[in-house]
Amino acid sequence: MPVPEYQIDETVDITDVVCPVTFVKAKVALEELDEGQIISIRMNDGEPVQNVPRSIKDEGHKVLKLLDNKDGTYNLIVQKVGE
Amino acid sequence: MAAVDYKALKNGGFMRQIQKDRFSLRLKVVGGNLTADQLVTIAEIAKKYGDGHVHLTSRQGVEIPFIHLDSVEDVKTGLSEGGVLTGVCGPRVRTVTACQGSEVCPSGCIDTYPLAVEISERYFGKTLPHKFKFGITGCQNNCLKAEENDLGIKGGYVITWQKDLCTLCGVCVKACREGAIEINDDSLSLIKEKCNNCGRCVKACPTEAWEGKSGYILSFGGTFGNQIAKGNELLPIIHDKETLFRVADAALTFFAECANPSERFRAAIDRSGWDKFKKAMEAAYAGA
Repeated sequence: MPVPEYQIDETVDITDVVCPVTFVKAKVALEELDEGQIISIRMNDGEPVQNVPRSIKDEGHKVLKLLDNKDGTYNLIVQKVGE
Repeated sequence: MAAVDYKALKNGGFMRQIQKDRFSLRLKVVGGNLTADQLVTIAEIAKKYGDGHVHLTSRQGVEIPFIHLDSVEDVKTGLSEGGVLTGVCGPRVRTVTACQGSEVCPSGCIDTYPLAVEISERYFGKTLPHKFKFGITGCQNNCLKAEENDLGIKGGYVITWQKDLCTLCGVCVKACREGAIEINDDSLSLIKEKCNNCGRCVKACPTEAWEGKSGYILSFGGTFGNQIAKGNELLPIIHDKETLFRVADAALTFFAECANPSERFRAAIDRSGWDKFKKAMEAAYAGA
């Protein structure tokens, strides 16, 4: 089952904050989107990339892809679900 | 006045203090849970018969110190009217501890509290050659420190990948702390030897492509007092309570039969031989 084609509407960088603010910053950015819009969230390797994707899933959003930027950071592509 | 039967008091949870005729009363707590009403009762008794404070023990217990010998019976009555039971000390099965488990904690792989209640109902207070502690933790994060108990139970998932549901998004590769999942081009591989059943892939997967079958990982012979030793995992993960209780029964039987008086479970296994113990556990696991 391939990842559907997507177009990024918004970006947020959470590499400048630490847990639990990483998730809070991502959540705030998601709240500003409309349903169905897609955001790319840049996060650090380690705890953020281990935990943030799951927290976003638990919030009910749709995680589409995790991209390795090969610089110690990752971009998580998320589609907003709900108002 | 009749001679004070300190042993009987201790068996009933009354711990002698350094102050003459004063006791610290251990209460029965299962899985670390008390209701708000029980807390009110405990507070009232501590104010009326103690010195107004309680002590939280290292194993999720509550003790009410400074109870006078003369009020032992009144205290017991007052507590039981408020739905609070006394604990136990001495050579027997102690408080069964548990983390909050899968009904509360997002990381939990098993429902710990009902299991703690079942174990407590089955074994709590059972007399053995020495103390015996059960501890239940919901996942590999091990908040409840399973391996420091005589019999530790840890929740885990046995995982299966469902190719049809997978988008190869890459989330699980990073969620896994063991490096057990790899994605190369358009295929995913699980290195089974590295999987520690933590279930983080299942919890993180956005498309439910990882399926987790929950189970119990047992550790035997942990002790964390005068002697420190980590409990050992000897069996494959167990998926049903029937097998779990068959193994637990067998462990307690082994302890009762093989230990010298006042010998801890760990010491009894060390002396009898781990091979022998492991065989007994494997037989119980297999259904003997």
